[in-house]
Amino acid sequence: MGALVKAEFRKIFTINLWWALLVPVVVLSFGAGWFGTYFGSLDQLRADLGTTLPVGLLTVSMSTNFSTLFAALFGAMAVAAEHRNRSITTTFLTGSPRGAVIGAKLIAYASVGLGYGVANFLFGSLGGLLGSGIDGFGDPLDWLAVGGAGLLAMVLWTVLGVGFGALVVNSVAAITSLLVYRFVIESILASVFVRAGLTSAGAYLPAAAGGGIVGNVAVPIFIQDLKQSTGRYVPPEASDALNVFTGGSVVHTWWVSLLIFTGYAAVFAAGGWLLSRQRDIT
Amino acid sequence: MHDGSGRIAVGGLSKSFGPINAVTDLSFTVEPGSVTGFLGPNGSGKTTTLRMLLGLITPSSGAAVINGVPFAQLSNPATVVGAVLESQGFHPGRTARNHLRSYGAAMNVPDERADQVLELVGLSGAATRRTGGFSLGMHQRLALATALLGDPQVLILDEPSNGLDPEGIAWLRGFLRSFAATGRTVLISSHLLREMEHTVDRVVIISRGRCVYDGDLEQLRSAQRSRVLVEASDPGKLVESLRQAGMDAHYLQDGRLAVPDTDSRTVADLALQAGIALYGMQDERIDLEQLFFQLTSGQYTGGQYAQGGADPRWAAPGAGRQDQQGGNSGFGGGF
Ligand SMILES: Nc1ncnc2c1ncn2[C@@H]1O[C@H](COP(=O)(O)OP(=O)(O)O)[C@@H](O)[C@H]1O
Ligand SMILES: [Mg+2]
Repeated sequence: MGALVKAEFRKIFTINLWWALLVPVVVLSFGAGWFGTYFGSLDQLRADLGTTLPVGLLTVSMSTNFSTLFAALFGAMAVAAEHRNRSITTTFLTGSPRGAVIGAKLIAYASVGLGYGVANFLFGSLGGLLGSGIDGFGDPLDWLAVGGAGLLAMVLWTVLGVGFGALVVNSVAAITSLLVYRFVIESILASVFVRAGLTSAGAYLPAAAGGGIVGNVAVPIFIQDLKQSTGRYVPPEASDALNVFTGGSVVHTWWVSLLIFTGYAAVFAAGGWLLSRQRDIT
Repeated sequence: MHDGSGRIAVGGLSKSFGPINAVTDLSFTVEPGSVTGFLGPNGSGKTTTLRMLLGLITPSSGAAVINGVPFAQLSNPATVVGAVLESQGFHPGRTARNHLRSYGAAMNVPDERADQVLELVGLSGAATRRTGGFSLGMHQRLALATALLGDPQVLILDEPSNGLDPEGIAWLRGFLRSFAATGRTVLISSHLLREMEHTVDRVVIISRGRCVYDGDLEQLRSAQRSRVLVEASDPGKLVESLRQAGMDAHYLQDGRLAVPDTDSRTVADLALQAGIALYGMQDERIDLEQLFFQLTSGQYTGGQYAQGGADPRWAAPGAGRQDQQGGNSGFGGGF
């Protein structure tokens, strides 16, 4: 198993994909952290209120929920790209049983996904630091909580991606369906649920649950700080408004989101694993 | 654990893809120390069989074992069996050396092994080049290098000459012969018997997913038959006298008669006795390739052939070959 994991790491780092997807993670997290806190409406809010707020937590949450997309795409290529260039034959000829090969891929890709998470957290924080100074992060423990939730989200999205890619196999289909789902389908489904009167059902959808892992840590901390430092009443709608940018929803606490999303990731990973064990490689 | 024998055994193997029966009740064994050719026209089920043998395709029924166990039960399989298969690919952005080091890591061989196998297949100069820029022949060499990484006991190759230049083919032939000479096993597929004639010791010939011949190439060669083509003044009468003499004859499209399993002398004597004038005669020896076409032109010809029975297609191999052409007119390059 160790040998198979080592092989997967080598495969990852001997082609360009890992850094081609890391670049947008770094750029987006840094950019969101910096511009989000410095120029954005959050900064205006801060000026109006005349007090410092942990806006950096919100931007880290926001960039995490952008970056998870790249983690998922990266994971999806683990198996699908091997089918595309037909190296999957060699992979299964040199590693056995197949279940161990997919397991090794899950470990290696999740580790790199964790690396993406670290990069996102560091660069997002660095951007926030430049934008709003150290005051923008509030309590260091809060900052670490948001960061930790972000790492979990990145790893789980990568795992989901690996499983999804192993299920779909066709890399173009895997990539496009991930993108279309995240940007189009889930919002359609959510609005269908709302119209049907199931207002909280949308929070159970994968992207909403995945976004809630970090969003539902960051937003409540932010609202709490806002209440404390201004002493004013904060309407619940404020959380909803913030969730639009940060991901998550008021429906669940962060760990419920985490459980739901872990369920999705596990279902996809198990499905991809099982199918990969049986599929004919012709 | 496997028995280390180097023997491949296929028993009652069948595979259907939906309505298509790609392989039907196929059984054969491959012994170590020799090169076994696995022959059949395109679409006859060679690739499917080899992929079943390697655990890449699950058989509909039957089983295939290497060293006594199915592929999936080999721990570190690449150290037991190496394979070069059709449509086996590489990531175009990875260099040859990195490709080999990645797969070498999976089979736990030292990194130096990568450069050794590159040297072995003559690709040392391309070690740091990305495989996306490789020619078909270089791909084949790299695939062979990958198969050899684990220093396997059994080597399986699916139409490896595709894309190789004549020099490469000659080199491969020598390589496989010396590989088998060390007591190891080689199973190699091709759709051209001629290509394999000088490489293999034994052949397994399949047609439409069924085995039609399994045995020594020498035996097949000695079973080659000959026939006589005759142009006679009264062909009808000649057929009559041939039949009386216990011989068979058929008309060819150009009006000539084809008399199998005999020579021109016998036919000439018969014609003289019957008072038939002969305008031309030709002795024809069916070569190995024609024999191969014949064996593979119908699903059940093999059985008849093996029993030595008269084969109706024998009379007009031209006609028999026509329905094969799509599959068999490929390349001529010899192996
Ligand atoms: N994945 C597949 N799906 C459907 N039919 C297939 C598949 N693979 C092979 N076949 C069919 O099985 C038969 C045998 O194919 P193959 O094993 O590739 O033959 P060969 O290698 O001798 O040319 C052919 O009729 C082919 O069309
Ligand atoms: Mg084939």
